[in-house]
Amino acid sequence: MKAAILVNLDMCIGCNACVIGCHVWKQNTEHTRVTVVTIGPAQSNGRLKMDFLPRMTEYCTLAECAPEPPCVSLCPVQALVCCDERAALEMLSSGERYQVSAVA
Amino acid sequence: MGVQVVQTVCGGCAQSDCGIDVYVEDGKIIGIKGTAGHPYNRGNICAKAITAARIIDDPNRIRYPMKRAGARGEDRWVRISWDEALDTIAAKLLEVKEKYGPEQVAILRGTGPGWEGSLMYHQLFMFAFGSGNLGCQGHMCKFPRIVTCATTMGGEPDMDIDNTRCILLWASNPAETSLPNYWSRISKAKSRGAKLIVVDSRFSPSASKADLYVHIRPGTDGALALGLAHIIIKEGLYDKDFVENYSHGFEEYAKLAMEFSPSRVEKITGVPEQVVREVALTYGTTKPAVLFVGNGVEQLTNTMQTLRAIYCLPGLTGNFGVKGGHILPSPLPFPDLARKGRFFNELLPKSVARHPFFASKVGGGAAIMLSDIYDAVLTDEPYPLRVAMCIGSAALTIMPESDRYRDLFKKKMELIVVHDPMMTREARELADIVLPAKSYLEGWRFRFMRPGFKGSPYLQWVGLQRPVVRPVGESKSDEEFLAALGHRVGIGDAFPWNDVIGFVDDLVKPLGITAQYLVDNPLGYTIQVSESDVIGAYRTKGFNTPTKKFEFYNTSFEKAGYNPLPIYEEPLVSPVSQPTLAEEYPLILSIGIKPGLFTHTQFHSVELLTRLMPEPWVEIHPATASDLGIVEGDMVRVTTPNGEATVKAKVSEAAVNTKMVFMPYSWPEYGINNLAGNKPEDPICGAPSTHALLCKCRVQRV
Repeated sequence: MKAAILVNLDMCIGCNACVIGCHVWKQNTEHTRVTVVTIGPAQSNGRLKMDFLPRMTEYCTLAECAPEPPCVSLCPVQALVCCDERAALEMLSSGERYQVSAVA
Repeated sequence: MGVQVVQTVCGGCAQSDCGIDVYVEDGKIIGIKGTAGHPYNRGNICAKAITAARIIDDPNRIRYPMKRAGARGEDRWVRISWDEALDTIAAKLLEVKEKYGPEQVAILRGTGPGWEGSLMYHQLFMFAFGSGNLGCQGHMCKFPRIVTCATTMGGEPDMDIDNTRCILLWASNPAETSLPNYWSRISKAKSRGAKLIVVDSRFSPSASKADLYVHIRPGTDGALALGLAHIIIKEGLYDKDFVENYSHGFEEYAKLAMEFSPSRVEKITGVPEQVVREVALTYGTTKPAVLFVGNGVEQLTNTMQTLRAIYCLPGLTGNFGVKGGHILPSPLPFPDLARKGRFFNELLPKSVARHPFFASKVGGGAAIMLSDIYDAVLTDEPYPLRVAMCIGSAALTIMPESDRYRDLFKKKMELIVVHDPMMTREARELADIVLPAKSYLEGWRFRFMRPGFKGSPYLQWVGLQRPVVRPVGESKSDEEFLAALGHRVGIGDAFPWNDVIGFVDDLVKPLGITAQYLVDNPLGYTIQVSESDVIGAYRTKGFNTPTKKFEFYNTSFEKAGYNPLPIYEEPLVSPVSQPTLAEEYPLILSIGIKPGLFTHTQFHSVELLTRLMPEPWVEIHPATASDLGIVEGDMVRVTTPNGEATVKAKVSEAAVNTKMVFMPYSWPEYGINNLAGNKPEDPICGAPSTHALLCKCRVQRV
């Protein structure tokens, strides 16, 4: 079964701890394996909104890092979760604002 | 040798007491994690801390003492011994003391060495030497909060975020600036259903998580706070028992609040009437609630009365002294080893402080404000300053008008010493002698959780930051440097200890522990404060104010000649107060963005961090950018009456308002701070206006 990293958009604040954590703990500064995308700020339904979405790049070694990748364990607000596909599907349909950051 | 894990305390920002686990192999740090069991950060750390090992092998580190080879500012250096450096400095200090008086020696202290134990050594040195001119940046940082709370409610309370149901963040962005402690607690509180209201001119990452975000015109926060009080009083939502029995001056305060109707507040602040009402009703009825104020209102010409207006709200709503609200635990009973008593009684009056009332109320942070030191250097009044020791400080790099003051220091000072881990601008451009300082991973330092920074009111904590790796080159900590210098200038008695551990031993004695206990226990010593000791304690003990009550009407302010009521005054730099100037400079500028990847000027040489944020920017609303013909990535020249800076445009609705632009101030080489002036200032604390300026923006194309 594949592993997945999900992010809770209501919790991620775009602090880049995952990005730096991966660089430092995987001792890889050459390639960026995680990057945080900012969506917004923009008006939506009469409110200003902004989300942060950590995304794993083609260099991500999730299969090797699971079940405890440093990007996940170093998240200071526990916005990232590493789990298997089945758990991922459950969380994605839970009604909370989870998004897929990586599957491998 | 395998991997060792050393538990210590982070020193990456001035408020942090985060426990960190440092993984070391063959004397090299391989990585850093948060300490799971640490009471402050509970295992959470930020990006800066994770990459902290990079400061050990930063090529910009000062490795040994040096004296300048050429003229000041030529940046040519000759290596000298610590002995020669200390003898040279001591000779000059003694000469100045003899000829002119000890007060003509000043320290410019930054947040680099952290506060707590390090600050006490600075105080020890200066107060024993006989100078009150220990300058810090408190007037534009947390001191306004400290003085407001001390005079309103007898001390700075902690916020019981873990048990609250409503959080009102005011001009504060802890998601970036207080992440492992406050924000992680706020985030958890949100997850269990607490409401988050954010009042901020800029749509920050913290604001993006708010249930209710309120954009406000910079500097008008006091009017909004009075407007909230207006509604809370009118709707009968205030705590009648608290107001009647435990407060002073409610009637006068209520009368003032009645002048701030929602419609008037909308006119002043730009916050729509119905939003003012929504904030008031949410904050006024969701109990318990905490409010949390940041530097956004501490760098304005009306800082102190704005803070007063905001901090009256917890009293008004009965959120003081309750679980889930604001709680004031007793301070830790440290002996006055730093001789702060001598400062307040004898040295402060002889210092160059122009805001002595403010400085007299800062408690543990006994020091004067850097802006007063700048004034003294500018005017030579009340007397000239002749020696400046910049210790862990970038004050002459990032404070308002630093270019101007750097020149003045360069021309006027007889001796400038810089003690810092890094070759800062102060070191390269000003210093006669530079001294290498240890980073927080290289030495012992006393640490304790300071009031208002604890995250939980039920915790008191003391601990030690400890050496993880060997010091870089010949680096010495502030404590080692100042004790060694003290012995050479005849104040060796003030430093009777062999090392900082001996000092800590004397300091923690009243807690019933020894320094050795802290050496042996990397998690430090935690005192759990029982809820029954602090909740409602004011009912029996009263408040530590002149009236023993919560002072809506501030009798300390009155005595000092300031308005005892939290009056609203239009900021001195604004389109309303300076309409003619605003014709030439039509946009409101705040240079207050604090990116979470850096701490002021620190960490700007860590490549992993700068890669994510290589340069500063100016944030402009899309409509304004379009009007000015500016597109994302254009170089834009931002001009104020004080100066100009050219940076990249970031076209973003984070600016919220078409009349506003925002910039981060912290990049050492961009001089964005020169857009702000040291004047005008808040009359009580001396805060300059960096969060409300007037500017114009013009695209620069080649």
